[in-house]
Amino acid sequence: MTAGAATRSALGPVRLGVVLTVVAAAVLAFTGLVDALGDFDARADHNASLSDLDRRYGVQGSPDLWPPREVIEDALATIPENATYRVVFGPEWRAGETRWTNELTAGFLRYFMFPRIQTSSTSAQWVLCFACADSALGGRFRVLSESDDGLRFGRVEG
Amino acid sequence: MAVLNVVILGVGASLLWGIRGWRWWTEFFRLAGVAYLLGVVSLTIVLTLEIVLGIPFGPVSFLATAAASAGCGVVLGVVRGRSRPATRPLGRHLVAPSLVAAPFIVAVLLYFGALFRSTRLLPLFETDAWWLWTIRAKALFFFGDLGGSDLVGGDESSRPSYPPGLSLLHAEAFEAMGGIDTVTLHLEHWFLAVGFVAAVVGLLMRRVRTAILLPFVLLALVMPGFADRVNWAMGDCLLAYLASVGGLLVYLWLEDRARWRLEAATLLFGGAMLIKREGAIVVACLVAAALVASWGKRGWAWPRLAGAAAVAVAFAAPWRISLAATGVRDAPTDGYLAFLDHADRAWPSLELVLSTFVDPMWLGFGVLTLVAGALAFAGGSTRPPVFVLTFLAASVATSAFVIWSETAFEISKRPILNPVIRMMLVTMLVLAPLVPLLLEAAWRGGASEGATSHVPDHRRALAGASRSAQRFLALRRSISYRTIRARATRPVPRLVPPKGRCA
Repeated sequence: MTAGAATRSALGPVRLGVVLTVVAAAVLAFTGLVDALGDFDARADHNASLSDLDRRYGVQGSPDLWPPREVIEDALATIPENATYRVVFGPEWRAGETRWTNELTAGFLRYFMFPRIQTSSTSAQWVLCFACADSALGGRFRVLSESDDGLRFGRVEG
Repeated sequence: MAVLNVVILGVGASLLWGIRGWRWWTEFFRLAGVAYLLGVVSLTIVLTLEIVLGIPFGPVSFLATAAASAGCGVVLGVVRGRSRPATRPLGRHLVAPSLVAAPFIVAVLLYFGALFRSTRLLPLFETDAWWLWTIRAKALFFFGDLGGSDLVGGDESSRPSYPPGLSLLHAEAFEAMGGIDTVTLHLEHWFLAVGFVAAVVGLLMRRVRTAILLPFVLLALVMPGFADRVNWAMGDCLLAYLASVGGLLVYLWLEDRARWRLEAATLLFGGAMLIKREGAIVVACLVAAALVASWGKRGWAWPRLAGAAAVAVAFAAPWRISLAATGVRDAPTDGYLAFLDHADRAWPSLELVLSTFVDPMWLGFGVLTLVAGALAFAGGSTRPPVFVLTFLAASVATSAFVIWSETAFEISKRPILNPVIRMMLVTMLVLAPLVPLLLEAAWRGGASEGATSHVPDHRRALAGASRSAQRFLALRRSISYRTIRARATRPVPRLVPPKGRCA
């Protein structure tokens, strides 16, 4: 019996199918491994290039979508952990921006500012005003920090 | 973080010793991944019960729970008469070095090394993480409970009906780190991935040739649909790990009837239902697959499967009862019967699921699964392909139904519009350890065409039936022949009276 005939007799069609399937999986796996390692390295390099504050803020994609970070960090440093705060949106805040809605912004701040409690009650004196009108705040608004695109952080007095 | 995972492993090891025991410490090393996942789910189940009962979460409650869970495992082991493990003598049953396995082992190690580096400084950018999971973890860390609507959001978009399992795990990590570190938190998901791979390899390494097993392990790891999400602080991967190892244990239990496998799977299923709401659906699909695959021995298997499913549901019941008691809504946007009003979504939903199943993001894993199933059938096996294909069909059908009935999901693969990719991620990871089993069954069955080996299941049945038929035919022929002979040799009745007698 020739070697080929011996092989064919030992490897029936089913076993041949198994071998081909495993080989295909191995080829796909090693091809995918190269891509995966490249992606992991690129992400690792990107993450390492961020500052600690960048990472805490969760910037991963366009930073323009997130609320202006400097103002939020001022709020984080100023509002006591056991205090409440309000988030008020004016109609002109990023008008036309559909990907990052006011609801998402409020939700992100609820997480980021925790354990400070976000509330809609007007009794909360600390306010994050997203291009809102002062008249909506119910008192004199003392601005402590602000961004160029209309986010103001401050305290309602009186 | 490392200390937390050592504690989790210790709890799981105690439970595993209680339900199974092991003779040699090398045996435990092989099953360490299973032990780790058992630790995750046992802590999840007990801590969830404590949350429901109003016991505040904190370092004391966590350590007490861990100690109590480990103690239960030890007591169970003593009751069942488990022996103390010993150190296996060197030289016995060492894993043989393999040129085939070596490159895959190196590849997996490289993968996890690169993944660690990618994970350790990863920002918490995932929307569902900060919108739901991690804010609840913060509430657990600061206040000891999940936080009312004023803390974590009271509207439906904050998903108050989501189970607390992942948030509890994140809170445990915060406690271990001594503070809120949403960056290092991602490393917990690296540990979970390592535990999953260790569990799968440990359970299969004695049943599947490494040349068949390791390529698929590596393939599952590098699928872009998984590799892109493996270290995200979300619940999909953890749900997939628990369901996958639980499903594998159930299948292996059907094969060898080892009770500990069903008990471990029960715990994993209960934990899966406390990680995400979809856990109940995935568990139901796996139980259905087991019922169908065990049709031939349903008298033995079905009562046990039903009992295991009931116990798993009982683990998740306190959370569901608490939701009902607090009036939290947990239904599709337009109600449970909304699908009746949107029949036009049925086919597009199914089409979306099927197209995602064969999407290149899985590197052909779906197609390879179907090929492996066909090969297993061709090789003469029935139970493995029936189990896998039943699960696959059930998973596709239920995923399509969920998309059909939830009108808030657009028919789209975009993750922000539809969770179909995450649904298929769970399906793929459940299939990941089963595909090597299919190919191993096909390989063994294929041996009947070449070298001598055991005759596979249905061929043996057919051969037996064939022999029975041949014997029957032979008996009939022999009866016919004897009848003919008997008739031929039987004396003919005399019609003439013997002499001396009057007629």
